Amino acid sequence: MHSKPLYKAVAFCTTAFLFIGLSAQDDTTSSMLDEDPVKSEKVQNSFKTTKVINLQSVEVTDAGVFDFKINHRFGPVNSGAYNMFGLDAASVRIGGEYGVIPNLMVGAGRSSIEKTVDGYFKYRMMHQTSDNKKPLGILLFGGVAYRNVNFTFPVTSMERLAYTAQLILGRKFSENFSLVVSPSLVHYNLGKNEFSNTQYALGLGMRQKLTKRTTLNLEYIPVFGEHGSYHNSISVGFDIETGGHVFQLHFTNSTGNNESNFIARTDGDWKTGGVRFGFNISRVFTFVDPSRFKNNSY
Amino acid sequence: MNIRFGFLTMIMALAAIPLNAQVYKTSTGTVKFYSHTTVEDINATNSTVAAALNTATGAVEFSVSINSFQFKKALMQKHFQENYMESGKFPKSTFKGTVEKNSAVNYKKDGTYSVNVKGKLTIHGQTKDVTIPGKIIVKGGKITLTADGKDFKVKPADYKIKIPANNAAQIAEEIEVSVNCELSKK
Repeated sequence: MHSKPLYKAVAFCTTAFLFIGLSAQDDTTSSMLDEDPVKSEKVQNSFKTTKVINLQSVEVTDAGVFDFKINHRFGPVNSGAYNMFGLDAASVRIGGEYGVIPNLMVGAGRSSIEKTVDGYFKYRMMHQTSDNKKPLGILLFGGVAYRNVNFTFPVTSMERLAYTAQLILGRKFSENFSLVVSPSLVHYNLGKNEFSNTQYALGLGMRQKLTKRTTLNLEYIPVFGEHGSYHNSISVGFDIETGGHVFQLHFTNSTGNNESNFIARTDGDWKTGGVRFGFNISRVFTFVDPSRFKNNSY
Repeated sequence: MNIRFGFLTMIMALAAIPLNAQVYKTSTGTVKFYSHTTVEDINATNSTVAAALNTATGAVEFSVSINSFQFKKALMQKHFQENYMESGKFPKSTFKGTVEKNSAVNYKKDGTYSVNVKGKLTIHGQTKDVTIPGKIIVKGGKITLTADGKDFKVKPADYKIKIPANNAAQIAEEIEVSVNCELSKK
């Protein structure tokens, strides 16, 4: 049997705990809420726009939103002072992207380089979540480009086509740092004899936020295997966000703005100054109220 | 000895039962805000608000996920999250306070009571003492807490939410916040 004083001590302690429990109701550190409203969320804003520089980012144009894109590359810096270090020349792509449903966008555009018309889709299969149960964003990209330029030899319509397939793996590591790794395949129906029509490459892109509205972006796209006199695409640039616009200013050795061109057919060489100043402008217009889409993923 | 021990347990049990019974809760409350300027009106709605009220003590508590505010434009929502509220750093806003003159509210009888709720509002990592005029509506065993945007205004500047000069014309200096949370006994 317990001794009486021990019993009293137990009773006292229990009563004391009870009162602490009662008074804790007004304590600001305790909570009556058993559910935290911040549950696992889809990670947003990994990049400022759908492109890192040339490469696709893990962002998908939101459903019901149209993103008007102008991609502009000047001439090569090594073209000399007479050409104002490239500023006298221009290669432009005008295009747009539209978010059809959440996680699916389609895009189209026309580039002055080789008078190319291109079309593509990007689909998000998995969205990175804040609880890291889904540590990556996984997206699929498919694109086709039609070169309308007059060739010096006869070509069929089929031969003018080039295709790109890309798996985009991306992760936002912190509020400031995001990375994409994109195994890519490019196939030209019309090839050059000295190397394969099908090229494999790995797109690597990152962004580091400098301020809330500006970021530093880097991009490197090594191509595996023989690809003739072409070089691997290397780009460095900045994103500047101003309200509805995102301005991307960069230096790149790629001239083309569609995937088949800049992945497999980059002709500039950084070592000899074959680099161009360029910019992308992105301007979004909302056409459909997002509440019209169920499970919207913004 | 056993009888006394049993008696103590009974007291504990009696004390514990009303404690739980007095707490009303929801996790699907609504908070809206409205920013009015001559250039642009901005509306956003959040319907996943967690709220609780202890009818015995008048203690109230709200917790709001910043990323759950839905806007009319996706880009606005992104800017709200990333540039203004910095939801990566500050994922939620909270309010903890007490209903003033709680004893004047008869929670057992249907009716509408105008009350002031005094407490600490935390937004963007900044905590301020505020008094919010609102209503407690008791109906059919449920308690609804409401605040009208005309009475409950929040100044972004008070919570160190920086608005760049470029956007100052689009965003009101005072944001009207309205609350509607129906709580039930849990």
